[in-house]
Amino acid sequence: MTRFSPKIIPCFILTLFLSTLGLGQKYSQFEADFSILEKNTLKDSSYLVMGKVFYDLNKDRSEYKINFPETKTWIFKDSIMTVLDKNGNQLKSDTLEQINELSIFKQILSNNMQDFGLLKAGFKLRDSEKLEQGVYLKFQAPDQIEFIEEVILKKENRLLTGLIFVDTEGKQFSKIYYQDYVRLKNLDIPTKIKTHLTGQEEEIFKELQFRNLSIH
Amino acid sequence: MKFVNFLFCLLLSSSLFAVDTDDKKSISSMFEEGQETIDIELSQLNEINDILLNKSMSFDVLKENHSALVGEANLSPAISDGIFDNHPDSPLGVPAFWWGFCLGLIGMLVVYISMDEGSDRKDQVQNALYGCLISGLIALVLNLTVFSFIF
Repeated sequence: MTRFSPKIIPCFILTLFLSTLGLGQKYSQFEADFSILEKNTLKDSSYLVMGKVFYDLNKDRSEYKINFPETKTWIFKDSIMTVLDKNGNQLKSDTLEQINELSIFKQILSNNMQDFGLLKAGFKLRDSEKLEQGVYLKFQAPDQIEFIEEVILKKENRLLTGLIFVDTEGKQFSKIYYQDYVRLKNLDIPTKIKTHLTGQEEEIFKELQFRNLSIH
Repeated sequence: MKFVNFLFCLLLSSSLFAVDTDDKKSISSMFEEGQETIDIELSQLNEINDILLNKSMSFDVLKENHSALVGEANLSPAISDGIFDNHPDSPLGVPAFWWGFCLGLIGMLVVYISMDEGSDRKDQVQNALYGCLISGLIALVLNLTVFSFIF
């Protein structure tokens, strides 16, 4: 088995640190057309949602203009979610947790896609392996997340391309894939993100696609 | 005797190599198989997505022109039906759909625990979420401190 020397671990951490210092917070606005495809094996219906998303990091505001299967606008600002109908009339407004804090757009603009936030969440890198298909990194979960045994991260050409979450019973309960990267203003952005979640009874398949991306 | 030892060593090394190859194959195939499964399960939705990207149309027109495909996919005509609802039990009060946009670690975990009823897991992930937010703030403060020191 081809093993990396332990030197890879500090190098990996240093790369993450430098990339954060060098590129983080440089751009503040993200704009793209999107499609979300979702299928849940326990539900009768599947979902396809298409529209346009605008995200402003400085204002901490995201807006989703949905045009299929119906026209609606969802706005997230701080902890307030507002829903507008096709004529711009407010349908409802709810207070939520800080959802923007965790959004994919914030991660992209902050150049935080390298390790999926694992190190920040307290995961520890415990093993690495280089194969023909890519580099595989195994992370150990922090003590406070008891039900995860390990997370396996796959990188190809230094880009995060896959993640597998394994629980303490050895079940691979989540797989996430980042594909079709485009490089925009020194940021590598995946235009397809696919997810497979396995619960006790149900399975959820989800795909998020971005098109016509713009960063300011 | 030397020849027997040689054969034994050869056999042992080849069996070790076989295990090694299987191990390598398993870690890469874990990723490949998972991806194929997602592509198969979402193939009909992807087909509908391509149709709409080529020609924009309403749900009713789509259903009229591609009734078989829409029927086989059981495509929902509304976004207020299910995934957009802010159900009282939804994790952290956020509609499940929007966790689709939260593809960070905690967002994914919240989706996972929402699929089970274990309150323990929910507590764990809530704690992890707050930990993640706090560590993010600490990192921000550290970065600002470093920059203010440098410049």
